[in-house]
Amino acid sequence: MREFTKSFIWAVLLGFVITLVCIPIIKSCYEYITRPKPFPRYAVSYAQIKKIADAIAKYEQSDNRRPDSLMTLVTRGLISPDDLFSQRRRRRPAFDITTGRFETNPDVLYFPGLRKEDPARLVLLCTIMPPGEGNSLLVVYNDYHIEELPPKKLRQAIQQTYYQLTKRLRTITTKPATAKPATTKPATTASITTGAQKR
Amino acid sequence: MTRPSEWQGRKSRRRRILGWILGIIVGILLALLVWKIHEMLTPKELARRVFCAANLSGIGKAIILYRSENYDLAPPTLASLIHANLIGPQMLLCPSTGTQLPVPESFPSSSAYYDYVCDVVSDYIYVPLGSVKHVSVPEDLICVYELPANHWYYSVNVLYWNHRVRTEKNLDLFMKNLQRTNDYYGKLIGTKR
Repeated sequence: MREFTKSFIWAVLLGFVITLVCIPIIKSCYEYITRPKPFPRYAVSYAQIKKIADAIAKYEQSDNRRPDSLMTLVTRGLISPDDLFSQRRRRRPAFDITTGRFETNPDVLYFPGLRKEDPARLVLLCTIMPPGEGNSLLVVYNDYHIEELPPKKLRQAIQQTYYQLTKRLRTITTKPATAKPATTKPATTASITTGAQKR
Repeated sequence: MTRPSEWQGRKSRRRRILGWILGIIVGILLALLVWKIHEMLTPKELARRVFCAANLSGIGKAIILYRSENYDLAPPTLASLIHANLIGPQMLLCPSTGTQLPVPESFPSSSAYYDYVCDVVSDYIYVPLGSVKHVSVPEDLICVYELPANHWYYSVNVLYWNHRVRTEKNLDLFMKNLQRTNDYYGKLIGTKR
């Protein structure tokens, strides 16, 4: 009976240790094989975002305002459609003529409400996916300064941008109404009414 | 005929082998039990994602309550919800990021602490469109969201202005909705210029 007890205790220890060592190895191998694929990291590169920022600056100089959307820059010929999409995409998303937009959003986020006189450290353009293998994201500030930021810092900058935009919106909506009417009738409505009046 | 000493030796060898076999089985079972308990105690990524969605859902409900008491206006910042005791500061942290709250004692006032948590520590981004008077917000626009980095670019949890929380796995679609929300700001500010 002594031999049994002695070998039993040693075997329990050995089995316990070997299993504890093997489990994480087997588990990590299993997780690696069966892992779901993350969404491809589509983001514009540094050169592309710089080109877009330069185009916005050019547009602002000529029109004295920022473009409503990045598509305006494309239609003006300031950037090519390829500048809006990641080079990792196999093909550029198709352009929808009816909506005047691409079937997927450009791989860069644009904040059209910002103005030149807003604080310089607000976000004008940014990527929410990292353009490289690392974790840092590209940001173009309101003064056209380009920087790479970790996600945590970008979150803070975006939050401040929303606060600023809301502040501006609040000042606009609380302004007293001017003598000018808020809405004007479209040209088509006028011709229809005149047609009805004639009848 | 086997001699008694030979027979005794064989018997003890058999006992030793039996001991080893039984011991290894018991050892493996013990190790599996320990591992299972450890696994049950540590939350997995899926659980963290669900927890994160529950945080956003809680924020959505708190916004509804806040609006009901403030002339249908949403809070200007998420700190207002904490001030109104509708959510706790812990709800502004995504469990997947492992962000920790700072020690409240190191701040001069609770108000400063809550503002710091909302502006610096929080993992969520609030779009305060509904806090502006006379502005009607389309319900399909984004209210609170997080960056895809929180969940390693697998998915994002988003709270919409219709107070529904969605886990977006298609990040292209998320980008599209986010750009639409930003465009709405541009449209309001642009048209009212």
